[in-house]
Amino acid sequence: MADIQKYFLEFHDNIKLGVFDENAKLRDKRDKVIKKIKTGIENYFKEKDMAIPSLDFFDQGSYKIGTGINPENNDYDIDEGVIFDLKKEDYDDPVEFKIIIRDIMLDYTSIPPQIKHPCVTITYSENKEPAYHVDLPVYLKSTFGELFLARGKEFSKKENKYWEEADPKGLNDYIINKFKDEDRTQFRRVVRYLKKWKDICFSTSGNQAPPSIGLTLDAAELFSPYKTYNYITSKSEYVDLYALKAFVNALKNSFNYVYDYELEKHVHTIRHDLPVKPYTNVYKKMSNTQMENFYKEISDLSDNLEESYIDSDPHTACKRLTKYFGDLFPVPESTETRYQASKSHGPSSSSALDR
Amino acid sequence: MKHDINTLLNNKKYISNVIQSSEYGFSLDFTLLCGKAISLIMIFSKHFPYKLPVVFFNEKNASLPNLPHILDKGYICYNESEGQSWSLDPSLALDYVFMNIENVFDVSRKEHEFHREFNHYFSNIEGVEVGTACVNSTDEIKQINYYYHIDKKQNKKIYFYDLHCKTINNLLGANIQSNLQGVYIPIADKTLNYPLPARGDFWTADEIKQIVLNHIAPENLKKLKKTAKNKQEQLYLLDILLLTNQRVLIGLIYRKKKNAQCKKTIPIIEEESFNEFEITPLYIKRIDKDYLLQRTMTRLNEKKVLIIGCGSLGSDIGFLIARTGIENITLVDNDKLRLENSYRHFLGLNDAKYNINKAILMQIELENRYPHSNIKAYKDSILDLIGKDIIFDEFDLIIIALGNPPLERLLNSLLLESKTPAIFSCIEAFGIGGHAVLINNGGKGCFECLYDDFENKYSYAAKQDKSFVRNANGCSGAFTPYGSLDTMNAAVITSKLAVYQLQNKIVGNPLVSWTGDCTDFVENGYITSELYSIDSGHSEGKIDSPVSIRYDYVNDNCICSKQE
Repeated sequence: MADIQKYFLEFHDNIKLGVFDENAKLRDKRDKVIKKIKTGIENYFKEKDMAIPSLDFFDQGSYKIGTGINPENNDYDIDEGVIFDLKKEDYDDPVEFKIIIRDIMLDYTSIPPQIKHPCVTITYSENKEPAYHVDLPVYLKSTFGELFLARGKEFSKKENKYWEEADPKGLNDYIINKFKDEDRTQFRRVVRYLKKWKDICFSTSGNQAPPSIGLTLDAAELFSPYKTYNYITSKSEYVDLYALKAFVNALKNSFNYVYDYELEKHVHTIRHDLPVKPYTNVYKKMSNTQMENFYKEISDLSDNLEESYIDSDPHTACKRLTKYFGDLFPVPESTETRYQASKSHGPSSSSALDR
Repeated sequence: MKHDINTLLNNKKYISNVIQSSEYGFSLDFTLLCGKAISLIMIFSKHFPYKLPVVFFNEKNASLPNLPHILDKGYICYNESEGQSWSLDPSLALDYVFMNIENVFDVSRKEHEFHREFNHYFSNIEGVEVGTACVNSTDEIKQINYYYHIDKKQNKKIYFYDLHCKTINNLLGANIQSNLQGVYIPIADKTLNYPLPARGDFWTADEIKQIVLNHIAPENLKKLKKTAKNKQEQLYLLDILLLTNQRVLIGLIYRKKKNAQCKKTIPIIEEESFNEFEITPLYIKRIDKDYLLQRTMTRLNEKKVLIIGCGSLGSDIGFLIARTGIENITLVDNDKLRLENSYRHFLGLNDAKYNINKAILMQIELENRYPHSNIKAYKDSILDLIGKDIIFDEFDLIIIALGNPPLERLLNSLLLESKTPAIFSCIEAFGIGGHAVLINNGGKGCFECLYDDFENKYSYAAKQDKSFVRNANGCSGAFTPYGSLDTMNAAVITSKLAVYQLQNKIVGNPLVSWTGDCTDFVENGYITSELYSIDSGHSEGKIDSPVSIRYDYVNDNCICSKQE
């Protein structure tokens, strides 16, 4: 059981994306978007001679929870929720507000903003390549105080445009409050490791990869912080490999095994309902085939985490993990590289040490 | 050649912050493969790299890790002294040192190593006393005796022994009678999930109680509960099975403090007594049979061997056989040990001066040296003993070293009837060689096969008229000349053949022959046989003695063939 905690922490530093406080560039983008929308909304309602609704912006997603990672292809994703202090009962068309916001941001970026089913997406580019996305979910309040998310694309059929009850802040709180202090820090690291694994081991197109919110919620439920006494430093120390391996194993075991009549075979499926409204299954977009693939990958990861855990050589333990976590996972030199000593066990005449 | 150690250390990528505090003393930081760095103090010798540096953990910045091989004051025991060699290139020698230090900090083997070092730690506990025990390991709790011995320097020493053990008498040179009794407790739970005393601390009374109660069989617990006594001191021997599969014996003395209550108690497990007793740990030196025999390789202690002839060859064989751990040895010789044999016999002048029978002297010496041996000695002629005191079939192997061919041929015919495996061993004059033949090991072949009517066909001395026998004192002083190296060489080959036979490694009845140097033989006017030329081959060196093994010596007309 080699001690490779230091290498895990180094890996973490390599992949992590800090919360806004740490990342000036993203913070800057976010602030500018907020400002632009605020001004835009003010102007829009002024022109219509209507009362200007107050807007509430709040951070969502991995930036809020602290589980963001540097994306593989430099394609950063920011989630910023917009809440209009208006009642949804007064507005039939949820997409109306999304169109307003889209129009406000129309010439802000070279790539035009897009209206997606759950949000409006602003795309920044750098050197003509997309570099940042800001996803803006749009919410309205209701008579009874709950929040409703505007769902629907610009040209969706009527039945695909609707207000969906939501509790984004509740979700944030749920995840953040699961663990405290240093335990929470380990939790964040483990979620990041798994998100990186997802980027390395799954195709990004479509629904092949499991959604990050699914992995995060699974971690919130199945992860347990783990630390142990380190004999060298004589202190208690977190062991990320153990916690990660235990979580991944639990995740693997949480899959269901059901018979798919279309594929005519048994498949592994997974389900995780949001702990807050609307309580939907976050994995609902994945097909059985895709979930079966997810199971296969998570099993492979689980086996190899176990192998690396029992490996007493730090070099091979880390090398094995680069297959799952990419080259940003550091690999220390091997014993052979570091020490060029020959060790022989010839018989010697000195007698064994007795008292 | 003095090496610039400072530069050597600084050149290593895994070492930093080298500070030289004296000519040979350095402090430095060493980064382990896991990425963590530890502070060390190293003191080199002027004989580096023949001698490796002494390494200490520097406690200035961190507390001493609780790991095996790291002792009090931070001394790091990174190099076992047995059987290791390293490169004499100073840079590579340093790599060797740090690679071994790396192993000390490999925590995955921690538990195993703690167990391996248990005895060593135990001996370093503050206040530990020492005792000796001749107690056999058993699965049951049992009573044992103990005895306090005052040696010549007025030191008080404690000895433990099984109730009917005689070895202790041998050791102390007296008949020990003691009515002091202790309790032997085997602890054999392999899981061993209790902390071992490491670095000075010892178990508390409560920890000892937990160890005993949680790791002994229920039947043993019942027996233990019957050992309550009201004595000033109560002694226990714990026989602990370690993760390394070795057993270690430790002693515990529970001594009553002043004002302790006067009642029957079992202090090792009764919590009420904890405050009344002072516990002293005892480091135990073991001399029981199993422990001592571990160090021999053969595991033949149950076998019974008869050695006929305790002369120069027989005495060497006797000692070699006893040292393999074979306990039951019967010796036969009808001759006395004389002063003039002082250099040709395993026993020397100190025994020869008594003018006593050789077999008896051997018996005394063997039993003194090897405490678990069981030696019988007969000073009669072997022919008088056969069928009466000595029954061939009662032995696993018989070795004959008489140097008397006619008598040996007679014994051979008697042995063929008994079917006990036997080895005839003999040496030729002037050390030109010797032979050992194994019989009754399956199939044809025996001592008689070597002879046609007149002589030994397999002799290294050619047929010649001149006698080999020397004579310094007329008839009474006759002897065949050969040296003690010749007999020891013959004894080693014979004993190896004997041990391999007892281990069932030999097939059939081989004739084993070895040649030696013929210079003295030839200078004295004798001629070696053709067989000698064949067997000695082209060996130029006088040190080696080529060994030949034959099966084709079998004579189809011999008595052994007729028996088949």
